[in-house]
Amino acid sequence: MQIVLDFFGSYGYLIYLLAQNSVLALSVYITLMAGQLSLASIGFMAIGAYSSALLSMNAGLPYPFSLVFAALIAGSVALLIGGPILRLKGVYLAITTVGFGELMRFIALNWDYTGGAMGLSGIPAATETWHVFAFLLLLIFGFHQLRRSRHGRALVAIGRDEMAARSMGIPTTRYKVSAFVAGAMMASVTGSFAAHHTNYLSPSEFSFSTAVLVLMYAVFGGLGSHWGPVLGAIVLTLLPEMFRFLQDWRMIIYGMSVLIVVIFLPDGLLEIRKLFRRKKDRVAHAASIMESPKA
Amino acid sequence: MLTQQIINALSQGAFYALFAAGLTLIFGVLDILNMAHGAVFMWGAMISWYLMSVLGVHFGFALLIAIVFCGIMGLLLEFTAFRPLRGRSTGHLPPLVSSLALSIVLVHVAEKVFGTRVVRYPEDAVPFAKYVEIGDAQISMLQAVLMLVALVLMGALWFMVARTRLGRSIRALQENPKVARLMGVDVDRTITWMFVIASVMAGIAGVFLGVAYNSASPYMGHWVDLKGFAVIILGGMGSIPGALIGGLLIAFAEIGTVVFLSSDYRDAAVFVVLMGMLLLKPSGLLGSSREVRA
Amino acid sequence: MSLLRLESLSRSFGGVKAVNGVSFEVEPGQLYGVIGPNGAGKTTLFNLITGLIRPDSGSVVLEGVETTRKSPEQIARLGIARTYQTIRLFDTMTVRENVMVGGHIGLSYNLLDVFTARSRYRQAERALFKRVDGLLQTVGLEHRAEDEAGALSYGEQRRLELARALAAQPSLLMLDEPAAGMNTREAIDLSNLLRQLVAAGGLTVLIIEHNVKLMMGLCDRIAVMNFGEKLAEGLPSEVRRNASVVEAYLGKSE
Repeated sequence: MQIVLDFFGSYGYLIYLLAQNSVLALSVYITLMAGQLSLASIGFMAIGAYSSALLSMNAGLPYPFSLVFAALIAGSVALLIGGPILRLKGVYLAITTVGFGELMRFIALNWDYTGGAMGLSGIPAATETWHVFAFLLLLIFGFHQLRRSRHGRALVAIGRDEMAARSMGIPTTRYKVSAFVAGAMMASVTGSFAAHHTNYLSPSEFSFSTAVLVLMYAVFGGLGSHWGPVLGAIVLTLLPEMFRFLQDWRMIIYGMSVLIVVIFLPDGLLEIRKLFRRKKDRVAHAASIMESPKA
Repeated sequence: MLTQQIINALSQGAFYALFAAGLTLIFGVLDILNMAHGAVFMWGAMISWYLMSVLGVHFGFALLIAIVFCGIMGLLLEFTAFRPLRGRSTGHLPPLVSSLALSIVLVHVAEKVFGTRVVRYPEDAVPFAKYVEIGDAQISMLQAVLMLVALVLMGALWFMVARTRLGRSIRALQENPKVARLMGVDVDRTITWMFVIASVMAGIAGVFLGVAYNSASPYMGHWVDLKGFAVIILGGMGSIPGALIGGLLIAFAEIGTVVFLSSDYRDAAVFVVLMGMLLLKPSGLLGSSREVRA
Repeated sequence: MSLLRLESLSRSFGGVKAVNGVSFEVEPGQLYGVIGPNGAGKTTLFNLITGLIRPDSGSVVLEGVETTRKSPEQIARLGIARTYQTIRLFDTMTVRENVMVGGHIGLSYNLLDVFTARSRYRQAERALFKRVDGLLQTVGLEHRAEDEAGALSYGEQRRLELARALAAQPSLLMLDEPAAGMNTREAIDLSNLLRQLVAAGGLTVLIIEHNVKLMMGLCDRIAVMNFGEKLAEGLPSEVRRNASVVEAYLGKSE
């Protein structure tokens, strides 16, 4: 399967990656909306990948169901750890979530059941690229609706000033944990997709550096709306491909490009929209949400 | 046997402390994680390797040159990844991304210059191959020098922060950047100095680690970044003595795990300790409690 | 039954008694003022009432329900809304969105309604939208509805905070120095607005202010605090004549 993909040029896989990375970026975004810097997506992606693979290989669970089950497992884990860890702030939370991710990788690496360092192979192939795109579109719709609801507003409020949000009756802990669980499930589904797409899983896919990269997609794109992370993921996934002709200068130019963009657009690519607005109504974030609701 | 392990843990802890001291300083003042710290550390090691292995330079000189080189890298860090963002944006995320991007550049440039393989130092390069016996254990000269250097440098750093004008500026910035500026603290210069100092210490750590383990590669900065973050959280953000204690704690936890459990679990040990600390006293052993809980 | 009753409320911070045995009652429909020099403990008192901090002793009773140890969210849901001394707006959200967040409690649709775009959700949003428009008009910010809250001037932000608090349709509105930074004209407008809102019914206002002249003209009753204690309480005319109040404080009116 891998050889076939390689043969057709990297484009097939690249397109798949665009969708995958966009979903991952969104899974980080939902927690960022609530002001939580969580790098746990990779850990949940691992849970989703391994759970789905093992469920379909050992329990014979057909593809879509293994995805759902895996997501439920991931969601339960998130629910369990969310309460205690979301009491932490900023960098402390970030490092804790990194620890979680590393713990997942560690388990996958040292447990025979998950194949240890050799990983799992022979996972039934089932994912089509369009599955992931469909999921992405579903999420985009979900975020669009969310932002125009009291739940979305509450999340952003919590992200800006949690105490003030609480004073308005918003149960902030519940919202933060919910966002965390939602992100976990998104990441889990992505992992499940990946497992059934490349039929091979290895613990090294779920590393700290990948977690940070996913965060970079989101921040690079801009956190004003859900389009930011998607845009960031697309640009940063395409860039290394576009720079392929540079050969061993590729990643150097890539790094420098990201650096330059961040310096000029620290609030992300979405900031470009600012240039098209009159000075008076510069809005750093999502476009106005209340075009009159459709009848 | 135990004594030997204790000695190993001490020297490992010394090296973690050196690496983490700069990191905690930067975080304490700027509230941002410098993702390029590991890359500077790696460059310290690679430069020293190149000098010693390819150019046949003596260890002492290689160390000196690496120090200067890393100091300049600190300047590079500040001027390309951090200063441009200081006026322009709020938040800790853009500097995280910019330092990450810079880190990518630094690692791949190292790859291009030095190749991707793990390289070894020349046999006779290290003049510290001698050992000293303590009971039934040995402490190599290298370990001894590392511990000494770490102690001296951490002490000097701590002294600098506590007693000198630069240190006062740093502490003022840590407390309240706006007021510090109003009181005449030259913010830009202070921060620049901080990056230089932090990078120099990272570079020294890199040289010693490379020589101690007799290997270096462009990818070595990676795992040490993660350990570094764990150390500064354990010890308390912004606390230099904390970095020392945190470094030792992590080293002991690692060595302890290898000795009493299995070397497979070594990396997990770090995170178990970290999680424990975060649950009990999130501000770390010597950190202040503000700003930690949501 | 009084709307709000404080009984011997006390709170210390590291040995300093920020609030020391403060008691008073606010009747429904009153405009009740709290004045006192800086550091008198007024904002701490507010924080105790709204649940941001817990008292060491004493109690807070809202409409017969004891709220002393309740969380801020619970207290908000019981009908208290407040503004802050240092403005706490959601600066990256638009003016309109800020006010809509204020209306959070009043909405009852769930996420499923949102994702399926059910009419329950759409109608509720539309109703809130209209109500928010009305509130923005009341505070004179309807022309800034789509602007980012952080871009507003100080005075505009204060008015936005007021609109946001009103969006919660509270029974008790607590304002912490709402007139700070306002000129005489603006302060008078605010005064009139508050009187109108109370007169319309269903609203009680508890207000901290430094502008003593404003308070004397606006409030039905005033409590004076200093060093965490209540020095005096009563009608504005009574308080003005109280010797200890005069000695401690008056003469510093803006």
